[in-house]
Amino acid sequence: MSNSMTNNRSSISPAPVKIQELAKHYGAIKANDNVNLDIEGGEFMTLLGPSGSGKTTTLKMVAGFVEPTSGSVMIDNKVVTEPPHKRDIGMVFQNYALFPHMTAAQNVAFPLRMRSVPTQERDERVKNALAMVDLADRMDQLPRQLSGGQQQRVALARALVFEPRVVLMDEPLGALDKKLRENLQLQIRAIQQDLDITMIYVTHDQEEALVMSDRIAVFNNGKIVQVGTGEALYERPETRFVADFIGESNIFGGRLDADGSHLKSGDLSLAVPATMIASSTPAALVVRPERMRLNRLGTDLQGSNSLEAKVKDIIYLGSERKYELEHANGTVLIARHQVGRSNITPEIGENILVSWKIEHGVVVTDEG
Amino acid sequence: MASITDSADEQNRPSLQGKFNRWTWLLLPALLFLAIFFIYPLFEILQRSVTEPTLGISNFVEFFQSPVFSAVLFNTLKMSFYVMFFCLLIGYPYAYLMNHSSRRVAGLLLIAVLIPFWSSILVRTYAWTVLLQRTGVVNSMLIGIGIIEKPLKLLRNFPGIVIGMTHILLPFMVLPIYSVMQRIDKDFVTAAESLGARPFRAFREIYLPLSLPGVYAGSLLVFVVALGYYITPALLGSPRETMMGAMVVQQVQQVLDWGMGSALGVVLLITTLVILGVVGRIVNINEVLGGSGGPE
Amino acid sequence: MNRKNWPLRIFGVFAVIFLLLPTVIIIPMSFSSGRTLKFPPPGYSIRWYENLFTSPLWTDAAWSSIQIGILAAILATVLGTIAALGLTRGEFPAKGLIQAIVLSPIIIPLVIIAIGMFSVFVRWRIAGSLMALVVAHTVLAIPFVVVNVMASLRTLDRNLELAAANLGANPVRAFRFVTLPLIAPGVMAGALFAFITSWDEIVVAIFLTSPTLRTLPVVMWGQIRTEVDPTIAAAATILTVITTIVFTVTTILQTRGNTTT
Repeated sequence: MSNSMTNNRSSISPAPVKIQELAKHYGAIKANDNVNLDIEGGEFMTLLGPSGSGKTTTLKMVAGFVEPTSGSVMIDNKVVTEPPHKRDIGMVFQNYALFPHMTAAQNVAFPLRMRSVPTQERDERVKNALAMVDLADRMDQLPRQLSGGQQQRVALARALVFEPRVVLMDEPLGALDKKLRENLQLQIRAIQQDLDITMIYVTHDQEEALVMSDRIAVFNNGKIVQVGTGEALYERPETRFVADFIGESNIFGGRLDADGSHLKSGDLSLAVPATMIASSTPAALVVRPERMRLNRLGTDLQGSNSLEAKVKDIIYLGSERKYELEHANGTVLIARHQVGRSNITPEIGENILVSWKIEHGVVVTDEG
Repeated sequence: MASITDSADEQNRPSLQGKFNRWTWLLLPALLFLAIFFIYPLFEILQRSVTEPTLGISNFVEFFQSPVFSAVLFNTLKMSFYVMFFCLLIGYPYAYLMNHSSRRVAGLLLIAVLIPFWSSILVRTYAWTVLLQRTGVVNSMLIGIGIIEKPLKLLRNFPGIVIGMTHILLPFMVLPIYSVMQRIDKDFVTAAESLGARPFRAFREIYLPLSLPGVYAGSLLVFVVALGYYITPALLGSPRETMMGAMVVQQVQQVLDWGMGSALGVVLLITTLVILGVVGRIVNINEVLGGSGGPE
Repeated sequence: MNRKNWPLRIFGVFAVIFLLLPTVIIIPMSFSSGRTLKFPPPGYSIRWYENLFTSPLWTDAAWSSIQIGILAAILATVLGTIAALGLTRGEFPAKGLIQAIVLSPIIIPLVIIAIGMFSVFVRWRIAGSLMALVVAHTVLAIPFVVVNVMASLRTLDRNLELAAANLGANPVRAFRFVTLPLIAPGVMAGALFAFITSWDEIVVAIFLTSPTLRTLPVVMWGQIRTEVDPTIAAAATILTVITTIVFTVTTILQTRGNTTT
């Protein structure tokens, strides 16, 4: 019997989650297809993707709200098939789903009551959970009397109070303003590390994913397209979609030549670093804006690609300047530089030479 | 956008005189009309109840002393209660089903409620007199299935009225419950289950309490509307089940005792208003009447 | 949503039968060839409809019902729409109470309204006239117009009127060219509800009609209590068919109103 009451999970080793071949089809529509993901115990895994990419469906299948068409979810090395109320998974919903007829404390006490935790212990744990999210003084208030950020923290306390094996969060900060969101991102991350729990977090906000996660799984069209740390995804994207979705990029679509040393993009031929991608598949060269260097015309640039371009616009962003550049064939490029750190400071309308080192380019597949 | 609205409100404010703004005057025609053709007639009844045959409260004294009249009042309350009970018994699961079906099924269920809601009470009551007679469809069906051997007496008695009125008032129960249930976030029950509540417990602790406002509104409405019914009890019941409405008509049309008839009307009106006033703080009449248009 | 709720579905089927049976059963009966109301009928004919359409008792009543319904609907729609604007936009003390009074004809027992109006109208010597029934049904229909129009007004973006004003429209023109077209579905729905309220109304009509002016439900009421031939079923079918048509149009209007605003 998997009785959630006798929850003797060892607090030393949080539960790993293994998602295998998970699929959810609604008729001909494939909300999820062939999703595989290994999440280590205590890891903060973010499912990132545009809306409709299948990340929330995956989350709901882990929670047990949606029955998979095929595939399985393993928690703590055991396949879970139990109904949601027996899974022992904490979940924070997009709109918090705080019960409107219960106070903050009653909301947090709810999972403990469901597990028949004795009154005294229950009160104690509720108090601790609310103190952890700095809401000890709001215990007796109803959800509607709390601000958005406070409601969010009550929902967090409620999802954590019963020491679940895994915590799931579905765009939990979507409804809050930027400042509050950044604050809570750090708070949630700190609590997750403190309590050493496995966290699966869904968001469409790439900055949020980068700030919070140990690793990120990028979703597109119901599938995971790449999994890795934020840095790996940013520096070494594998597909054009990932390069485009995470951070800003200059992307040249085209095909590699036979020896794989150059990429032909329109009338351009650009030197690329060594790659495994075959010359038969569509490919793209990705260069991050901060890797772009600006030089005077006529500068000799060994080991770099260089293009002549005209400065179309300069946007001052506080610590940075962003340059919009246009090559003669109409290609628009973007370069970013720390103020005071670039080698030249051109004016709008000036013709310059934009360049990047070959090894700073990344060749990715171009799915379409 | 907010700022535009705000500044517009500020522009309106200087034109206010005291607490009124200029839109208020638009209420005047309707209020005047209702005052003459609705409120005044009601006052007329109030007046006649204390002036005929003589000035004073003799009619009311007689009402409360006469075992016949008190029995009618009691009968009316009892009948309304039964009707409310059966409406709730059918209406709650019905509304629940509407909320947990696909869009198309929910639409069909809604139409099944709304068509009787808008068809004539007289026609529906008449249909029941046909359905419930000794050789009617209901009896022959029950005999056909083998539940009963001899036809039941379902007409001109208490069960007849309860069946007919439950049918007629069911929409008043279903619509407010449905509209409240619609507003319950589906995530609440999922959240409760993810926090460890078994489905039935999640229903009892979360869904049921959150749907209660609809239950209160529907029950109150059914009860109050049932109190004043005249047509249905008159056609489906017998003199033994006489309700207040029928008694009022009897006094005015047959006995020609306007004083007593008016007094009965006043008692009925006050009973209605008191119940509305006491229980009605929870009820939003708009919710019920406006709910006829389907999903918000 | 759940595979396990089949008991609830079976219940739903029975509930739908319970709700629709009385409305539906009348139709085959009205086509009966027999003299009594039996189900299933011994055979089918349209003799009761012939009877209905050739008897002046029924045709006169139908004509009166249509006239009263249309006049009451027009009057209630004008008064109700204006009142709905006042209730939605107005600021005044005891707003809740005023709103309750406007809506109260729905909740006050009809018998009381009926004897009250009868008593007053007799004194004013208008009882039994077309005018009296129009006025009475207008009272009963105003709340339905108010509720429908208020619902449309609540979804209306006030900034559209401000924009109209900003573009040079005076308040009346802003209402005529911006507000009214946008709330038209609600107004239409209210008007149709008002018509149905009058068309089906029986209690007040029993008191206010006279031997020379009777509505369709009043004639039915008299017939039900004295005769049992299926002409009543034919009349009931006509009554229901018209109600259903009007109701369907109203529902379409309301859903369209909901999607466009």
